[in-house]
This record gives sequence, C-alpha cells and structure tokens, in this order.
Amino acid sequence: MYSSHGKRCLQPLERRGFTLIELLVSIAIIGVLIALMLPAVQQAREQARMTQCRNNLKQISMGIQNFHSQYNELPPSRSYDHYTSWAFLILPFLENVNLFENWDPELKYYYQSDTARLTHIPPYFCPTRRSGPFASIENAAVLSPYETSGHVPGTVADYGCSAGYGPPGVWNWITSNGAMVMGDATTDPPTVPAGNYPPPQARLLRFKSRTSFKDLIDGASNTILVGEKHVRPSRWGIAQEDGAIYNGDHPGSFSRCGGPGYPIARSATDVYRDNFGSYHNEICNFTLGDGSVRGISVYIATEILGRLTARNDNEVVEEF
Amino acid sequence: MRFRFELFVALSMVCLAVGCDGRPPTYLVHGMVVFPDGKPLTSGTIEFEALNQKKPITASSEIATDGTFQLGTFAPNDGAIAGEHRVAVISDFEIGTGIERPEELPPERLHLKYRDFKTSGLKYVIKPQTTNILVEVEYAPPKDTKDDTKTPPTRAGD
Repeated sequence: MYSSHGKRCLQPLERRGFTLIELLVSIAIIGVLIALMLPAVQQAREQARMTQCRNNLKQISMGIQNFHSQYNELPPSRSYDHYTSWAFLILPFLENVNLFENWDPELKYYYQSDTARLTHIPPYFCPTRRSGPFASIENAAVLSPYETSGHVPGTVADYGCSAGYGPPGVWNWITSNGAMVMGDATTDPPTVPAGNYPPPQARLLRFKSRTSFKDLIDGASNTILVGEKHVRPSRWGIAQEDGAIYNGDHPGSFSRCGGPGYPIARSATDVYRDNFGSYHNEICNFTLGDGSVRGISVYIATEILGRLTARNDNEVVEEF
Repeated sequence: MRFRFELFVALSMVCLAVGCDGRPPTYLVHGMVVFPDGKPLTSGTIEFEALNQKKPITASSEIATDGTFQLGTFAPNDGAIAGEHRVAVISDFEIGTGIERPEELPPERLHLKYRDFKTSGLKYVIKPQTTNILVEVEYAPPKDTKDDTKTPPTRAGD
C-alpha cells in the first residue's frame, strides 16, 4: 500500500480490508445457504425418527405374529374389562418375560405391583412424539353413571390396536369389527357391586381370544392390527385418550378406531379423541396382519381406511 | 441486473416459506347440523367427500356441542375444496363413559343412514368463497338400533 504522495505507509487504518457492503453480502449468502440447508437437516432427523417409529411397529408386529404362533390366535385387545391389554400380553414375545412375570394374571390392573404397571419399554414410544414422561397422570371423564375407576398410574404408549369402526356405539365391545377384540373370559363373580373404587377384585380364571388370522377374512395384508394413537399434547397421560397402556379398563387408552366417522387426525392438535394419528408430517404408521409396516397418508378417505380396519367387511380395498 | 437477482432471491424465499405443494385451494366452510325440530346434533363427526376427483379428497370436522362445525381438509379448520360433495354424518357415543357396553347403550338419536356416503342422500356444492351450510338430518326411527346390539348381555355393570 502506498499513500497518495507515493510514500510507503504501514499505518493499519489505511490497510485495504473488507468493506461493510462486502461483509454484509457474504453474511447474507452464508445465511441463505444455511436457511436452505436447515430444513433438509431437520427433515433428515425427522426421517430417522420415523424409521425408528416404523421399527417399533415392526417389533410389535413380530410380537403379535409370535403370539399367534404360540397360541394360534391373535392377542385380544384386552383379556377382559379391568384386566390387561394386548400391549401387555405380547410382552413375552418382545423379550420382556421378566416384566410379564411380575404381573399376576388373575388380578385386575388396579391390584398389580408398581413394577408391573410402571415399567415402560422403548418399542412402545414414537421418538417424534415424546421421550417422557411415561406414567399416566389422571383419569378424566371416567366418573360416569356406569363406572367409577380411580386413577392408578401406569406406563403409557404411542400405539393402539385397531378396534375397527363399528357397529355404531359399541366399538371395542365383542361385536367390534376390528382385528383385535375383547377376550372371552371367565371370572369369579365380583364380591362388591360395580361402581365402587377400586373396582372389586374378582379372579380372572381363564380367557381366550375371539380372533385369529383365519378371522381376518378380508386378508391379513388388508387388515390393520396396530397403529399410532392420536393424542393431543394437552392430553398426554390422561385417560381415556392416553391412560395406562396395560390397563384393560379404558379402550381409549389401548385401541383406536379408523373408518367412517374416524378419520386419521391431520395434525397433533386435531380435536379427535378415538382416532389414529401421528406427530409425523402427514403420515401415520400402521402394521398390518401380514407383518408389514406401512405409512398411510393422513388424508386417506375414511371409506378406504374403514375397509382396512375392518376384518370382515368383504369389501375390496383400493390402492391406498 | 442486481435488482433482478434480489427479486429472484426474495421470490424463492417466499416460495420456500409458503411451500409450493400444488394442492387445490380450500375455502372456509362453517355449518350446523340440526334435526327437523330445530334441535342441534350435539356430537359426532361430519365428512364432506369431493366428487369427481382422481383420489378422494375428504374434509371433516368434529361436531361441537352446539351442533356447529368448521371443515378442515389439509389442516384442521382450513375449509373444503370447491365443487360438489357428498356428506356423511356419524354420531357415535363417546367412549370412556362406560356406555360402550351394548346393554347400556342409550337409543340412537341420528338415523343410521347418514353413516354412509351412499345412503345419506346429502349433497352440497361448495363455491369458491366462505360458505355457511345448514345440514338437516332426521331422527332415528324408534326401533332402529336393535339389530346392531343383539349381543347377549354379559354381566351388566362390571
């Protein structure tokens, strides 16, 4: 550098550096590049979580297949009212025999040990949705003229079995057209009238599932077994929507409907209660009777969804 | 030239922010479901399926306790696409109240023909503007629900 009159000048103030404009332009370019890249990175992260979610469903699916190999029947959605749900019955096939052994199969959920109720297992949680807390908080809206069950905390889950969509009003009763329905059980007569809390203890003597693969007469590859539960963030841990998963008392906690009247929830904040739905972007994952795991668009027509959830509607399923 | 480049950058940013997904535009649809005597249907789900589409496009909404609804297609409450729609109304009992037991079901209020698009007979045309719709439905005939609940009662009240 030389000053105007030709003398060499080493004063730092006169050294040629970046101008403000140049600096701003380069920062702006870097900013644009990062702005372009960030969504891609976020999408890759979400894609990884989605893959893990599908892997969870695959494991659940394998658990159900192995359950079927062992007992020649699908796990019932719940062994009987107040006892336990499908999610607990397949635990031995998810390599959780020890947890399963902590449960006394004769007793109702409300009388089980803390270990049995509160131990959560990773395959039951979608990483997009939550990494905790895992224990249920309360029962809302269970105080009805028919039943009063107080809250006994238990671990929750992000997946529910398909209860079909009908017949009207009685979903998850034994007449439900879903793949997994309530078991056929024999119990001791209760010693105390119903309507008391905790529900009166009566031993579960035996139970049997009402469905097996041969009852999926629409075809195992056309019948949904388990899918992601829709739960609004404000309802986490609250029965019926997200109560204890091992509790066979509240169908809204361990099962979901899909079909006419029960569209897949479009976003995490959708107001639906009894529907399938995910926190992924426009996709909800399901596992079907053939062991496959499929992501289904949340905008699927409810008629087609209904044909998938119903095991015996004799309808042709179009491409979905 | 420089101005044009900036314009291009600005436009692409807007495009990124808004998202160019090529979905058909939706128009707000508010409505209410009422019986002939003017009383609203206080719970359930209503679905509008657009006719003449390659793949079915369904707008749906939960019916509020005052009978009103606001349709959503690609997001809650974003409306429905323009065109002719067939409509289904489903009003099941909310689970978790203990009344999922067949022997304890109260009689059905809404006629069961509305459960199915094919039998509901309801059709509406959504115009490309904010729309208000009054959906008129019939009560169920008194003995309509017997066929659906023929399960032998197990132990009542458990």
